[in-house]
Amino acid sequence: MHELPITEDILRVAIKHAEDAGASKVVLVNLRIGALRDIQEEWMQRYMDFASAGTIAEGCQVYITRSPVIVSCSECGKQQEFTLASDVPPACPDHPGAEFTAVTGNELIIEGIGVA
Amino acid sequence: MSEIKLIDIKQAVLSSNKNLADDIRAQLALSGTFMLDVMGSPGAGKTTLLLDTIRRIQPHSVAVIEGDLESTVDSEKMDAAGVKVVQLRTGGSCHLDSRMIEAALREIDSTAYDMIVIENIGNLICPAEFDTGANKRVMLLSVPEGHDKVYKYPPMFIAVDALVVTKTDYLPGSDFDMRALHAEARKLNPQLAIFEVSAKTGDGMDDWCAWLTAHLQPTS
Repeated sequence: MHELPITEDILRVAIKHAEDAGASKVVLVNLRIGALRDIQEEWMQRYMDFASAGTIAEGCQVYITRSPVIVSCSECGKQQEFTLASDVPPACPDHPGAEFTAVTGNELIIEGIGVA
Repeated sequence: MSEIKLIDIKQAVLSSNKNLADDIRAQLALSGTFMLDVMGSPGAGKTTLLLDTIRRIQPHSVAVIEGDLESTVDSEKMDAAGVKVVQLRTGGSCHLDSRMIEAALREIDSTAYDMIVIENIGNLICPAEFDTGANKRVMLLSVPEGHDKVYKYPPMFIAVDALVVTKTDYLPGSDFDMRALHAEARKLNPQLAIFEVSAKTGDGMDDWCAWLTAHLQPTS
């Protein structure tokens, strides 16, 4: 349900950039969303259809690229992919017991828009 | 149809919410007031834990912002205990954001309080996504909910600084696996502080309150 205010924020940004560019219509929005974000993709489009009605972005398509969770070893910086479904925590071959920080996976970014 | 032109934006969604949250933190820092965002399922024991915590950390002064979809039940409990409380009714919205907190803070003289506590909407999903301007975020997980919530709602466990396992008086005879919870929660969030408390028996409350008061300005 939090997808609605998120979508409204995306819509505001998209319309502002389209107007600044002198465009009359937003036809698509490209988003990048990390795997750690709890975002239901189908709701993003449904909410966009609802929120964009009557605006220059009415009917725009939402395209989502999911980025994986990449974590980095706090000792040496070596990176590895980590899946939430995995039973094993990330482990560095050279630094057992080291902690990890997420490099990607938390993104919720408007990459760009397509205007006409 | 005319040709589509692509415009690069590369802007974080909700950056306006984040910017306002940063402003709130800067403002509260001026009066040395610490703000805590408390999240958890409906019935996790947020109000009970807060009432007991506020009593235990006296003479630290605390004001509370109550977020609920409807009703003033929780704020009436706070008020009855003599706690300054501001009720936010979101009218159906599933989370609090920095704009709502900014409005609530207008009703509180922050210079009079060491800590402001936000009791967020009972929900393990949506509040994780919205910065409220708090300095630390805490989630409650009650024993009756089960340890498996850590597998089902990982973003919340990642978003918080501390996890308080409440209602530990229900542990005897339950299949709550505390060791599995610790292992999975630390896997998601290695820096997470974990407390096991029962507001009913008082078990574990000292450790939790010590962690909390370490973030507050010393009382004179």
